[in-house]
Amino acid sequence: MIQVPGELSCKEMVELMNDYLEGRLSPAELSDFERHLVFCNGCAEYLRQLRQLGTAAKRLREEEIPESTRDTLLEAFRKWKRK
Amino acid sequence: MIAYKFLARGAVSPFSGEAWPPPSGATPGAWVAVSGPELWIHGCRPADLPYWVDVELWRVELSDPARPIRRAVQAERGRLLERIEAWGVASKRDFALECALRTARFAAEAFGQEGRESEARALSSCRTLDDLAAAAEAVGQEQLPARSRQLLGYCGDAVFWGRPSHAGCVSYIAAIAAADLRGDPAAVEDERAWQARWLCDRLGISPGA
Repeated sequence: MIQVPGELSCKEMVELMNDYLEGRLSPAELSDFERHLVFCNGCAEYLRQLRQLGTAAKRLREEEIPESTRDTLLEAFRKWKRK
Repeated sequence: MIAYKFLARGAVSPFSGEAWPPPSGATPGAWVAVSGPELWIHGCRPADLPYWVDVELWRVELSDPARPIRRAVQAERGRLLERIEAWGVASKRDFALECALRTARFAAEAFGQEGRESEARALSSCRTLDDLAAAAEAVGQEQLPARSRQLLGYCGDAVFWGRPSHAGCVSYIAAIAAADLRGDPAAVEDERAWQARWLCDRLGISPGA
């Protein structure tokens, strides 16, 4: 596919997702980012999932996580760090 | 400045999820401002419309001075004036179809340039998404040059996203198909300009407004 100057690729969108959610994009970047969301269902869906994850994570308190789930998650994070 | 703004159903911003205060009769909606440094209210000029399509289209007033940026204008405040009723289910569907058929014509042009006249005719004579799906499926993919294969793939994408009237996606596909056909990213601008003219014609918006 031809690369259009000034248009963000999906890869660039993924890299900017957290900055977008945290309001750290410049006005020009923000406009480019949101324009991409108009036509790209994949990026729009990924952003929706990240928002949902953020909302769920804010509600979650450590003591609410069952011990076995916490151990599984910690093990997964340790393995992920080693990769 | 008078501008335009696409919103999600219920006059909701598609990005922030904030609802805009609607107008009441001839009285505009309340002014909306965004608090925070470097945060702005955005609107479209007629030429920007194809880049932002969504469920509802509104005529808006932006506070002066409104500043042009790439594909939009921004201001400190904005308010809804009236909904453009001509933009609805039918016009969104028709816009998506027109863009899908433009994609088919770009593919047909590539096939024609490669001497594949029957495929070119089949693609350029499509009038519906079903026609396009059938014509694209009938093309044998073996030994197709890369450009034709790519453009044929765009036809399939245009059908896929055209069926749910995802006009934002199909109009993008058509613009990229135009650029791939010419091998020139500048063709995106020309195709978007064509789309803006189509929208202005259909919606009764003056292109220079």
